[in-house]
Formats: sequence, C-alpha cells, structure tokens
Amino acid sequence: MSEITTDVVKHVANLARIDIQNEEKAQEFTNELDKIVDYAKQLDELQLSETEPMFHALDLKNVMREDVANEPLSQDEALSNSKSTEDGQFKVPKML
Amino acid sequence: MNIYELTVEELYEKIAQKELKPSEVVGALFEDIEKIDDTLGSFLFINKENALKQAKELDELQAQDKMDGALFGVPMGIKDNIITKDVLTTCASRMLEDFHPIYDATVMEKLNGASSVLMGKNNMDEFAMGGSNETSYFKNVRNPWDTDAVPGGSSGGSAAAVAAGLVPYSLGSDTGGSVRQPSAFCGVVGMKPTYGRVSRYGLVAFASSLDQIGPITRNVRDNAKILNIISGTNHRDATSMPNVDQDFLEGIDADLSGKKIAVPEEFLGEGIDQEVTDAVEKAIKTFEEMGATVDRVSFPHIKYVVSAYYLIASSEASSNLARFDGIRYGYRAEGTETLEELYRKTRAEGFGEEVKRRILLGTFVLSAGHYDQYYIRAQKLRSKLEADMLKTFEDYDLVIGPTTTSAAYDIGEKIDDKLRMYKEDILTIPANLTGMPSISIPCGLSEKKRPIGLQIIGNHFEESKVYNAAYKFEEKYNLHEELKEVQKELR
Amino acid sequence: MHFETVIGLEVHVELKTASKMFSDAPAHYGQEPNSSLSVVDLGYPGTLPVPNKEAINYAMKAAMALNMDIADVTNFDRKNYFYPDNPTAYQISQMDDPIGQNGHIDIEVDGETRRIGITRLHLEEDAGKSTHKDDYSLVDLNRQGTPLVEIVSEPDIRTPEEAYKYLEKLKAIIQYTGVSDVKMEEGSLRCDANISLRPYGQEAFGTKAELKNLNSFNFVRRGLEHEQVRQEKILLKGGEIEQETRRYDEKTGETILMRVKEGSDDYRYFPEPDLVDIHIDDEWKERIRKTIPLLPDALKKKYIEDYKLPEYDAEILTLRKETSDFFNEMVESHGADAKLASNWVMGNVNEYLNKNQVELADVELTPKNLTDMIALIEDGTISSKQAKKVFTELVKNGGDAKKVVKDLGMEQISDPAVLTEMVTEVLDDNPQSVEDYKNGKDRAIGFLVGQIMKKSKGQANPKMVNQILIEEIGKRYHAK
Repeated sequence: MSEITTDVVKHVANLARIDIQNEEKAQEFTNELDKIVDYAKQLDELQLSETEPMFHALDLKNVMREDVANEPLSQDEALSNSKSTEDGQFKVPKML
Repeated sequence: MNIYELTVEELYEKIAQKELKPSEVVGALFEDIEKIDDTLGSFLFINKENALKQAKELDELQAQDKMDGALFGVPMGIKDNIITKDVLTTCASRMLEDFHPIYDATVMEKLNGASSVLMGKNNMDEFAMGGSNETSYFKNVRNPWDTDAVPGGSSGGSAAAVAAGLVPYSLGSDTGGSVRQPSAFCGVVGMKPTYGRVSRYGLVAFASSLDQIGPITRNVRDNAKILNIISGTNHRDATSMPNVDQDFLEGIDADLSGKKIAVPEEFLGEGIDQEVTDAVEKAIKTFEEMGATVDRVSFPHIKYVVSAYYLIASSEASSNLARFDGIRYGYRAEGTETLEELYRKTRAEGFGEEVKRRILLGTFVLSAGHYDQYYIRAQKLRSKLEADMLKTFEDYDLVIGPTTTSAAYDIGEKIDDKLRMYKEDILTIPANLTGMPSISIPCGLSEKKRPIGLQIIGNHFEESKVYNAAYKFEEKYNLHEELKEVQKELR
Repeated sequence: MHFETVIGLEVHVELKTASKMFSDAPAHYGQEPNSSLSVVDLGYPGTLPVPNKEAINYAMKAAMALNMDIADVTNFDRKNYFYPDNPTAYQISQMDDPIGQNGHIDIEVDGETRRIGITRLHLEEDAGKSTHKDDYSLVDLNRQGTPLVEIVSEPDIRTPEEAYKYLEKLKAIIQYTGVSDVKMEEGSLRCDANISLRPYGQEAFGTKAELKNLNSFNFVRRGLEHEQVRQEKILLKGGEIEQETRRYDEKTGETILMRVKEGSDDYRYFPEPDLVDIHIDDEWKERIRKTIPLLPDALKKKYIEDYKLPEYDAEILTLRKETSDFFNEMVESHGADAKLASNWVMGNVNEYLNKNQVELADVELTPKNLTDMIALIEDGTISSKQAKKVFTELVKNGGDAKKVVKDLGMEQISDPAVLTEMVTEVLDDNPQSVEDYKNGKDRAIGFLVGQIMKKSKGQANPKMVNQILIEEIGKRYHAK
C-alpha cells in the first residue's frame, strides 16, 4: 500500500481545483492512484544518489529571443473565446 | 484507379501531371469519409466547406501551372490536439468543445504553406491521454482491420483514417507511444522524431518534455517526405533544435549490409505476446538477410520506464492542463457564484476521468513531500536509461523490437484496468524519455488478422538511419495489399 | 523597545524591455484593457514561452549593481497556483538557480554605514490585474508577462528607518542601471515586508508577519512602525505572534489581518520543461558589467572628494540619476561651480519639482541655461531676487538665460558711466542728504541709494551704486 488515502486524494483534488462528485468517486480515484503509486515505488530499488536528474530530453542551452515587440492581438481577438466579458475584460465570479 | 489507395507521393505526382484535380481528390475522399467514418469514428469533424473552397482555388492554380508547394492538393488529417486557426480544436475533450483557435500551429503553417488540404480533425484520446482511443469525450474510434478492435491511441483517429484510406497522411503526437502504437495497431507507418526536430508550438501540451508531433502514413517514403516538411528550427519554441535541416529521403534506399542492429532482450521477454515475438524474430532474420548484423543487448532499466514515464508525464500534465479554468476559453461551468466554485466545477465537468486521474497523480507527485521521492527519482531514471541507450548506440546503428506487447485488442477489453494499460506502453516509452527517434512499421499479422508493429529506434537526430532501415524492410515485407483489401471492404 | 526588530524586504522591479519576458507582445501599453497580448500571454493551449535576452541582460545588470554573484547556469521553474490574473495557472519564475545571489548594499543611518545583505535576485513574469466589483471581478491581462525581478534582502534590517533607507538606496541603484523606471506610484517597483521581533541577544527569529499593500516608501516605514508596536504589545502580554499576512491601511496607518498562513503554500515548483538552461560565461558577464554606469556610492564619493561638496549635498544629488546627470552636466560640460550648482539643484530645482509633482525631464530647465543663469548672478547682471523670476521662466518656458533676463527687462545697469551720471543727478537734487551724510548721519546713504534705484527703475547694480555713490560724495567732500 502506498500513502494514497482518500484524504490525500481530496487534498490533491483541492490543489488541482477539481471537484470530486462524491465519496464513491473519491474512493475509486484513491484505489487507482494507490495502485499506480505503489507500482512506482519500484524506483526505490535503484541506487540513484549519484545520478543527475534529466529534466530535458535534449541538451540544449541559451535559447533566447531578441527584445523585439510585435503587433499584439486586438482586444476582440483576445476576448473572442471567453464566455464572460465586460468592458473589454474577462469577467469572473467574486473571489472570497 | 481508386483515389483512396493513392499515397502522398502518388497523389502529388498525379496532380502535378494534371491526371487528377485537387477538387476530385478532396471530393472523392469526403465521399468516403461520409460513407464509412460513421462506423470508424476517425474524424471528430470535417472541414468540408473550407477544404472544397481551397481545392477549387488549387484547381485554378493547377490549370495555370502555378502549382507551388511540396504537397500541392494532397489532403491531410490532423490530430485534434494540433492547433488549427479558426478550425475547431477540441483535444477530444468537453473542455474545448467549442474552442476556435486564433493562431496556427507551426506545423500547420508549414503544411498550409505546402498547399496541403485540411480535411478535418482526427479523433484521439482526450488530451492525448490513453492508448485505445476510448477516452475521447465524443466517440470511440474503431480499427479499420477489425471494427471490434481498438485502433490504439492516443492518435487512434489519425492512424485509423490513414489506414482506411480517408486521408493519405495525418499528423499525430507521441508522448509515450501515441503515434507508434496506433500505427502498429492499424498497420501503417508512424514516426516519433527526435525531441526538438518538429516544433511543438501549437501542439496542446500534455507532457512538454516528452511530446513530439509525428507523421502517420501508409508507407515509409511518404513518412519521410512529410517529416521533411514539418521539421525545422522555430524561434517560437525554445526546445526546438537549431540547424538540423536534413532531407530524410536522401539515401533512404541505401544498402543495409554492415549495419549493426541491437535487440534488447527485455523487448522480447516476459509480457510480450508470442505472435508478436515471432513476427519480430522474423523481422530480425529479414535484416540479417539484408546484410545487417543483429545482436542481443540488455537495457537493464527498461522495467522502470513505465513508472518514470507516468510520474513525469502526469506531473507536467497537471501543470499544463491547469490553464483550463473556464475564464479565457473553453468550457465554463454554469451558475457558479464564486471563483473557487467556477474553477472546481469547470474542471470537474470539463475533463474526463482519465484526464482527472493523471492530473491528480501529477499534482500528488509535485506536491510538498513527494517531489524528491517521485519526481526527481523518475527524472534520474531517465538519465540511467539514456546512458544505457547511448552506450548501445556507440556500437550499434539502430535498436529494434516490437512496438507493442500485443496486436490490437477489443474495444472495452482493457479499459477497466488502468495500471495494466499503462504497463503496455513499456516498449514505446524509452524513445520519449530519451528523446530518440523511433518509427513503427508493420511486420506481421496476428492470428486474428490484426497488424503487428516493428519498432526501429535511432540515436538522437538519426532519423535518416531509421528511415533507411524501415524502407529497406518495407521492400521485403509490407501490408500494402492487405490494407487495400481492408479499404475495399470498408467501402 | 524590549525587543529587537528583524525586517526583510522583498522588492519587485519591472524591467523596461520593449517586449514581454516570454512573448513578443509590447511590454508597454495604454489604458485599453487586454490590448497588449499575444496568444502566449493569454495562456492559449499550445503556446510556448521563449525568454527575452534583454530581460536576462537587465536582470544581470541589476544583480551586478547590487554586488551579487552572477550564476554560471541559471534556469526557470514553474510556480503553480490558480488565480484569474495568472492565465496558465503557473508563473514562470526561478527557484534553485536565480541569476544573482549573495549581494549587499550599504546604507547610511545616523552617520554610520550599515551593510544590508541581499539573498537573491531572480527573474520572473508579472501577472495581470484584477479589479473587484461587488459580486464579481474583472481581469485585464495587459501586464501579464512583463519581465520582473524579485530582490530579496537578508533579514538584516533592524528598524523601519533602515528599511526606508534600504529602499531608497536600492531604488537609486536600480535607477542608475537604467533597467527599470522604479516608480512605485506606477507599480514598476513594489515592496512586501517581513517583520518579526525577538528578545535582544536571542539568535532564533521570532514568528514573522508579512506586510502587503505598501504603496510608498513612507507607507513601508509607517506600516513597519505600526507592526513593530503591535507585535511588541502582544509579546509583552505574553501572547504569541501568528504567522500571517497583513495589509497596511493608508487611512488609519494600521496593519490589518488578511489571512493566516497555514503551513507554507504548496506551489509545486518544478523545472520549466519548455525552457532550457541559460549558461552565462565570463565574456557575457563582462559585456554587461561594462554597461553599468558610476553608481550612487561611487558618485557620492567623487562629489565629496573631487568637488568638495558636503556629504549631505552628495547624498541628495545622487538619490536620483536624473539629478546627478543634470548636476554633472552643469559642472562637467558647462563649467558651473560645483557648490553653487549643488545649491540650486538641491534647493530651487528640487523644491519646484516636488511642489509641482513633476520630474526634471518634464521641465524646460537645462543644465546649460541654469549654469548660465548662475553666471549672470555671479557677474552681477541680475540680483538673487531677480534670479528667482528668471528661474521660474526657465523652468516653465526654457530658453537662453541671457535672453530671458533681457526680455524680462531686468538686466542690471552696471555701466559705470551711466551709473555715475545717475548718482551725480541724485546728489545734485539732494544736497541736504549729502550734508547729513557728511555730518555723520549714515542713514542718509540709504536714502540716496533708494533714490538712485528709483531713478533706474530698480535696475542699477546695487553693489556698484554703493561704490560710485561713496566715491562721488567723497569727491564733493574733498572739493569743498
């Protein structure tokens, strides 16, 4: 068994801002994630203390752009896919 | 002449020779799509009006002998996680059901610039998360060889459409095998290029450090031709490799004698179906007959790659998919009174179960107290694996093995056992973790007459070697005639 | 005080590049919301960030000016959090390998120099802005993606006054490097403060509170002063300080609880997979180092040692780059006397700018015309009193100092022949006063001067009038 419990799943769902409909669903996610994380513990077998993590598939460096500004999107384009706007801005429900 | 049987090169030639008009090709394929895709489900929607209009314009250019573009008049399908300006891009998710992008992916700019015609967007697993196309929010895809079977995933729609002759080529994306595995299941050719070869700009990110766009075609030459067009440095993508322009058709038919090929014993051992092993063993013999030497090697870290992959890919995905919040684009839950509620409901209702599962896993992996144990260790495993493989490439030109552990299985057969499905990606994942190029080409048929794929992996930026071996093998073994039968039957 | 105060400051400075940190949208924009965005800034799916090289140069320059060690390899991380002004739900920032580390600046407090350590300087992208209405909020993303450096001090600051001095010095240094406007009122410089108390002699830090909404250096000082007292009261009563975020209220001058921090926020930092490492070699570092101008401390030293200015003058003149640039030009290009130039710049010039809330760049005064005006005072062409009028004219409408003096009709009459004639006439008209003066009534001289000034409509050079008058009286005296 891994450290995945329904409480962990609920905490993680909270961080990810995903409502979990009900306890049953929470339990289902818990069971599935538990299996996966438990399986991933196989990595603990490996001696990795001397190994550097490999965050990128390729050894690239210093990719940068020159500081040149180009024509931005129009306000209409910027808002075009939004379902709720007002006065040229994105509208969101109140923040508590 | 059946238009649906024509390859990219054949279509291009016949249009160039004015034997066919672009509108005839496009029109014929739309007829086919309308006739058989209700069954296959390989397209999420078709781009008929635009495509017909474009084809008419190309007709005129053809009449005036102004045929610019390496794919003049050649139709294409595009996986629906590749951004197409003004054309719906949904990632097969409710979250983007009505998303009209305001820009084009770099690959689309290149293909449009080559005068290829977009027929529609191909179905896929939701946000490219899945291996059977069963996680699409909209519909399943069926395998053209056997409509009871899955087409593979996540680029299942692309592979099925190409196999069925609905388009001569499509682009897919491959994060852990999503181009190669469906290509294997559908008996077509799918390439995952070296990471950085094709710009990811405009590919909706799943796992940024693993994702690559790749072509799916019915033969090897077509595949190389499409990669020629879509690859190249892009200043909008900091992970695109500078100065690696190359013609992959050049030397594609070079003799294989003297080539050294490695077969990892882990690729043919436990967990691989016997009929798959048999087909690959036969392929090995074919290579030997062509003058290559084939040796067995060992990649001792292969057994850990599934763990490493799911930890890394899910972590990156949890962050990449956090932007879907209902505010600027995409699905927005109704009737929410607070911002928090908007976030939680939008994301709960907009994402399907598999996507949520991976976001939750990735969020867990990155969260306080777990990062070092899971994320960092997974990235270290990646170093280990790369070291194994680079060492092999010191002595060998290529690594070969099966693409998948089995031929295509039935729809619904495995979807309930997530971990088991995840484990099946073991053969394709190494190329993603290391960024190496890898192709899948047909190398046999299962007892149920479902295709089996051979995987050929090259060292970084050695696509030419991969294509060369694939092409020479294809000369000895292919499913071209069988595929034509399949296509005829579907019609 | 029963306790020692420990303060650390986090300062955010916007870099003034032409384009944004990771996109090619303009980094400067007008009032129109959501009109300075690319698909990257909107966090559109499929878009990718590419770092702005100039922003990296600027960050390096700022870090060098703050005496920091520059990284050989620096890179970016994602900081994940949901907020409507953060369109990708992660901010690209730097966690483990910031561009600059281990720096310091020196401040003067009560005549003593205090060295304040700077832990790190890192690059990140700014967020958009949300405006809160009654039951909803509006989001303008124009600011999203503006390059930002975060400068984190060591907890070396011990008083609100030191915090104020640190900010003043930090602002001056950054301003001299030219990488930012550092204007708090425009948001190109922002400050959060961490403050805790501990018994004198204790090494461990107390629990800290984080202060936000500090919109001027004065508010930083006042907010810290209030917080210091608030925490002291709690501690003296035997209470405990909660780790919390507090907002400074400008109206009441108090700090108000925003939220209690429950553990640390889980931002799930991880290396940004869309960006690769930046290797900064010595050649690159040197190239940037060469672009750093003389900084306030060095300039101050120069003013004191070479120009013999009082320390106070040197301090004030070097607080802002425009001021010292202006002063330098007066002295170096136009030959102004350093002390006289300093008096005018620190005095009338600053007074005018403060009173009218404008900057040197906004007024018509130039180093040249101010230098010329000072020369006109020195050679007696105009009086100090007249100079005030001339100054006002130069500030408002500019122009050549001599011409302004002439146009205002206030050129002093300094021609001895003309003055002698006037003096003679006045002496002729006022024999009684001459008589009085001879009889020892010194006051008579004042009356005579007054008459001459009246005759010259105030334009006679008073110094010369006095001189000529005494000479002329003397002549008449001896003549008798």
